[in-house]
Amino acid sequence: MKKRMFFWIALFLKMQFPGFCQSTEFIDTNALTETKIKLNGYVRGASYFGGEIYEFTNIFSEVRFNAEARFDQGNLKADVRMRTGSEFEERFNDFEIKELYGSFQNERAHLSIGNQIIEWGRTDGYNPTNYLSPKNYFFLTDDMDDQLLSNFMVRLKYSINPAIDLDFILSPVYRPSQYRFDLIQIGQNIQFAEFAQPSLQFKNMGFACRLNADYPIAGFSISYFNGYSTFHGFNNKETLFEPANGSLSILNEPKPFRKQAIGIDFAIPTSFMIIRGETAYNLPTDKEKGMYIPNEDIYYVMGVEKEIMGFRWILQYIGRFIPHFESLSAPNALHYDMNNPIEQIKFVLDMTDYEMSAFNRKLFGQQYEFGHAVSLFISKSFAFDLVKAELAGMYDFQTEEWMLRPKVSWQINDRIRIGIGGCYLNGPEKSLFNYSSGIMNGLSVDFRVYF
Amino acid sequence: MKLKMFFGLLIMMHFISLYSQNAQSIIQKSMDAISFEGFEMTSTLYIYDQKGNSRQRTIQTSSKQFGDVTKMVSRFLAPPEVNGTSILIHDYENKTSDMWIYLPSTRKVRRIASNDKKGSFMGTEFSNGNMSKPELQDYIFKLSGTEIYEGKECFKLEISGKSPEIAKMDGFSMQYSWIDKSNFLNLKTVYYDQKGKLLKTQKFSQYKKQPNGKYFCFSMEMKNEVNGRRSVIETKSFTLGSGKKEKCFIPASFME
Repeated sequence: MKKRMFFWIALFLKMQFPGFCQSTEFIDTNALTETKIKLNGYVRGASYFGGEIYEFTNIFSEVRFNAEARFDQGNLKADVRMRTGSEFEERFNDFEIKELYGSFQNERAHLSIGNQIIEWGRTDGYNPTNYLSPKNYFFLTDDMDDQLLSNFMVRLKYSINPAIDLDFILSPVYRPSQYRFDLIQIGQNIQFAEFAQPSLQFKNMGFACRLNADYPIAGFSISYFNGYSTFHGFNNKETLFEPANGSLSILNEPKPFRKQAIGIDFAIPTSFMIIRGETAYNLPTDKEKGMYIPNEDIYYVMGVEKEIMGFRWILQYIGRFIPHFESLSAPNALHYDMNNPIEQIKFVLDMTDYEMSAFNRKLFGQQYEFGHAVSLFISKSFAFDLVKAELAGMYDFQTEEWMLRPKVSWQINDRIRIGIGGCYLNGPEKSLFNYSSGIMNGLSVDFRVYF
Repeated sequence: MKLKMFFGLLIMMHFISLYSQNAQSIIQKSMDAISFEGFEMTSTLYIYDQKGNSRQRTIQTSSKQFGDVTKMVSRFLAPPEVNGTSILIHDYENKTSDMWIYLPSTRKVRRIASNDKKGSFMGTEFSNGNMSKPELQDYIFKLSGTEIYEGKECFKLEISGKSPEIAKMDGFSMQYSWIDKSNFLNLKTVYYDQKGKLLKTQKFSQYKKQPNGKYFCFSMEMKNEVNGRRSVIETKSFTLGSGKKEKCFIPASFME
């Protein structure tokens, strides 16, 4: 079966890119205009291991085919990845189309249609205006690119002048970020139903636009989004409580929400450093519908980048403000008549609602009226760029959660690279980092051969 | 006697000034001899370590002048690991360049600081400062004599930063350049570190005259005299002028 699949993929690639087996770059002389096709990629073996719950969180091999063709008025891009291995103790064989789109361009406009990854924002790692591309947070490797997921989008970029462009994006199909709630021990007897995917209808489409300017003195943009957020929470779908024996069973349903957002970002170079900033005002629709919809908020990041003693330092402040914040309060057992089974059930239901709402707020970073955190990224290249070392860290002053993510990569030669990294999350009991540390803490190794 | 001394001093100052002016005009002519309003080229960068092991980088570069600004975009074609990485530089006459970088893995264009002139250019022995036009007003030029280099009579110029800060930013305290008297082409430059020790030697060869009368250097070598490493840039193809429009030299063009 696997052999047959590989044969069809090889045949597909051969049909699409004649000459694929002979050369990595060639010119199709039969085409109406000269078309240059480039094919490259890598084969890799990678593993994430040493976690508390799984000794080997994942271990897999992967091949990536990245094809690009450029012609007079457009281009096409196909980034295809095939991987096989084991993840969370389950065997898998994945065929992932990372990106697949074609584009057309003329003097001022650039139209691209297909599965694309569109990343907006000028700050590092924390991007309030990055509304469009979802992530798979549970694909654990030392390469953040692995987590990016594409989505079908129609993108029209219009150049007003060489420094200013307008970006319009239509996203007909909603694709959420991937959370594996089933892997996290939130509590006993808590199950998660299938994700409530919105149907493919006009009313469920997403739309975004961005006016972007890049001048020598500064780069900045203003953006707007209206659609389903790539982040999502869950709703409490069903709670079953048996007062006779005290058994409790909770069923939650991961559910998306719509929002509108308006944001700005900027980068200002000075003679000493580069100053970057980004903020978005998020206004979810129908907040009253359920706990899976966050409060409106203002999310902001301010950062500076500077080279000190050969190291690149990026220091950022990450903040969030919830204008109409109302704190959650746990139901007080003293206010219920615990001898009355109906009251008992009511107490359990209220407690469930409280706990699940609190967890949703953790997911959205909305536990406090104001959120304050800092992040630091330090990097340096050694041995004439053959060895690169990075360290990313974050501390949240409100929740007291913190994270460290070191990484070292060594380019053995032009075609072979080895990377070793790790991730350590820590936080108080019942914090999001505490829940996920059992899965996400670990070491990673990645060995790649490029072609 | 005093009058004689005064006249002697005046004559000496006049010669010093003339010599210095001469050095300035030589460097200006040297820069004019290799300046282009636009070009397209594909180059290969060879990086050799002390043992002779080599790495290669292939870069496609386009450059064009728009008003007072020279805009240059370089895209890495090989090896596959850096394929698609692009750098955009806007070079100005009297101020620091603006630089942007695009890394395909992040899918974002980043504004980067351009004042790290002494940093290595892509892991080579060339520094970032070697890759852009020097700001002439930041340096003192002196003509230290004439010498024969590879059978050619050359001006030997001494170049130093006007301030210790400039020298620190460049990573060298002094440089000497051998400039061919017949056509003002720079044939060799040696760099000395802050302690006055020989640091690097840069050699230029395979100059070819272009249809506009200017010269283009098809081979450049930079040798690190301290660690024995060397890097060579060889230009495989060069086309005078660029048909590209200004929209190809903006940060947003990386994404298209």
